[in-house]
Amino acid sequence: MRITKKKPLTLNLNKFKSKVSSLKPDTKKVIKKVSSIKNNIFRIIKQVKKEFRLLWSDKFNIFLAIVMPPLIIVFLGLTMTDAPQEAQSIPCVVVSYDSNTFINPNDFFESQLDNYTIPYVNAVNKSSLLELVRFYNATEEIYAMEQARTALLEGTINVIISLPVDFTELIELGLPGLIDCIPDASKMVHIQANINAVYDSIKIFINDTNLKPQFVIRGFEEFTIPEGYSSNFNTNIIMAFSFMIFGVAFVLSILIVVQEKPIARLLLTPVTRSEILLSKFIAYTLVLLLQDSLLIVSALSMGLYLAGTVTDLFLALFMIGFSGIAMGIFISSQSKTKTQANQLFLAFYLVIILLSGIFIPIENMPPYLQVIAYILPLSHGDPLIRGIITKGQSIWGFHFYWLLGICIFLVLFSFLIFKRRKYEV
Amino acid sequence: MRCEKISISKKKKEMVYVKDLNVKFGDKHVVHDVNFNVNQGEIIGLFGISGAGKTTIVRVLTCQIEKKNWTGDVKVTGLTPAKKYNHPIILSRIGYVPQLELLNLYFDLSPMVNVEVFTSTYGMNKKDAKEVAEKLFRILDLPEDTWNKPVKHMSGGEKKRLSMAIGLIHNPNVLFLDEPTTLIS
Repeated sequence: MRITKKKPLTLNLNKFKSKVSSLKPDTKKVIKKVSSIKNNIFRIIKQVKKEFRLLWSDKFNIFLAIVMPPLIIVFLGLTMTDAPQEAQSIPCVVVSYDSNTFINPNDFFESQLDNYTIPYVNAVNKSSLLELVRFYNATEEIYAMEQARTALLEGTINVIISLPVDFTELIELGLPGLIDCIPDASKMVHIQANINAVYDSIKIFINDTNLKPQFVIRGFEEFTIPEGYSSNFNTNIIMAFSFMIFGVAFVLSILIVVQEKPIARLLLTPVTRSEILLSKFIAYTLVLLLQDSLLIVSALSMGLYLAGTVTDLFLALFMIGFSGIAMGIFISSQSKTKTQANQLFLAFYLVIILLSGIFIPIENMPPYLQVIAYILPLSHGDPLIRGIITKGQSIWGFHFYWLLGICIFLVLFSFLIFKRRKYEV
Repeated sequence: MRCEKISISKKKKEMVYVKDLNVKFGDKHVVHDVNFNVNQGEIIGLFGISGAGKTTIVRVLTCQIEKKNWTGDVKVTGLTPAKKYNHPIILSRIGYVPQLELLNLYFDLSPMVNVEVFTSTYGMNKKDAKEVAEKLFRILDLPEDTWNKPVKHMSGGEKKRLSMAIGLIHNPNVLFLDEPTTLIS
């Protein structure tokens, strides 16, 4: 192997100075340019370019921001656009206290069921929404309800249907029959589905027995997803949209100020703090626009039913995403270390998701939590997206203006904090 | 603390003027009555033990310390850092090479792109910046094959020299070097 001997670097001050002095550009020319508006714009554009270069240097970030969200949409689309699956039946037990035992107290061991118990059990069996796991005649099995509760506790059933002692008598007298429905309330989101399934069995029961209830309720569904569209996909995509656009924008921007160490050195050039922060907002807003477009294109191509306009959906997604960027840059501007920024990210994100109203209805929260929930962006983002996609609502409403307000507040405070942030080299 | 001067020019234009400089952070008096001046063509070295206030003086001169924390008459290229509106002009006339390259360079970007990022802040176009950068890289003996690769792959000495090149890129009137011999090969 041939080793070339490298000439050692020697410093001849006179020679070095004359060499450096002969270089372009002329300092006077540069100074003239420093404070012109044209140059401010030039600097911002160059800073934006730098942001993109930094973003490009971390390919995982690119994947996270641009590729992953549409991929998730496509994945949801491919797995949920098939023919609508038959709704899964809800396991239940029927506990009947409706027996003539109580009518004839002298014959305690006789437990002939009243006229309407068996027809109701048949109706439960007929309902496609219910799966009868077991029928208990409570007059024979004195621990029927305890056994049913144990099944509910173990999760083998989701609902107990209990027929009261006067079930048949009330119907025969022309009075409304009572049915007790005991759903598993630990699965909050399934409560309504459980009750709906029990209603289904009642409908079948009324039809089969030619009963004439006092009130006839006719249901018409509004804002349903038309035939040809997958309701599974549409339901999930509405929730995924606001989570995804907010989460990705938030995670992408959480470290952009705190991890950029050379900002301290940049501030020893004519570039201002406002220009640096503004360039970050511009760069990440451009990324957000691309994200938005890809999300909408992928969702529509996978069969999203959109009752509103694409423009409204685009703007809504943009506002939610921008609130994520604004919150990320806000936290990044005031964090002293990357660890602190990451911890704050986790704390904020958990609170924002838990109080978004998607998992727990905001109305069911204690008043102080409701106040916090209504301040946070996702509690406005979800109804905004839902309104546009399912009801065709316009974007111009309370939720949009609230999101705009949050964004303006966060952007202004980010600039204020960044202006006061201590940088030293 | 001691100041040592090496005069290499006969021109006597005053570039740095420091009279009765005192720096205080709360109750802590960091710099006591420092006086010196540097004329065009002169090189001055600040020597002192750790915590003597060398970097603090440089921070005052490079507009990093707010006026409320220091007193005295200070001028850099004829302008005082006490006035905020002078800062952009002073900063455009000075170059700075910090002690730590981590604070000066974008490690994920190449030296050429680093140069572009910093020169754009002075309003220099890409072509001029590239031309000057190439000359400086050659003067400072930066291997050509490293110019377009990420800075993180460079050796410590190369990073330091790149840092110097960035400090000199806009042909400043005054160059401040903090611990310039660290890592220099």
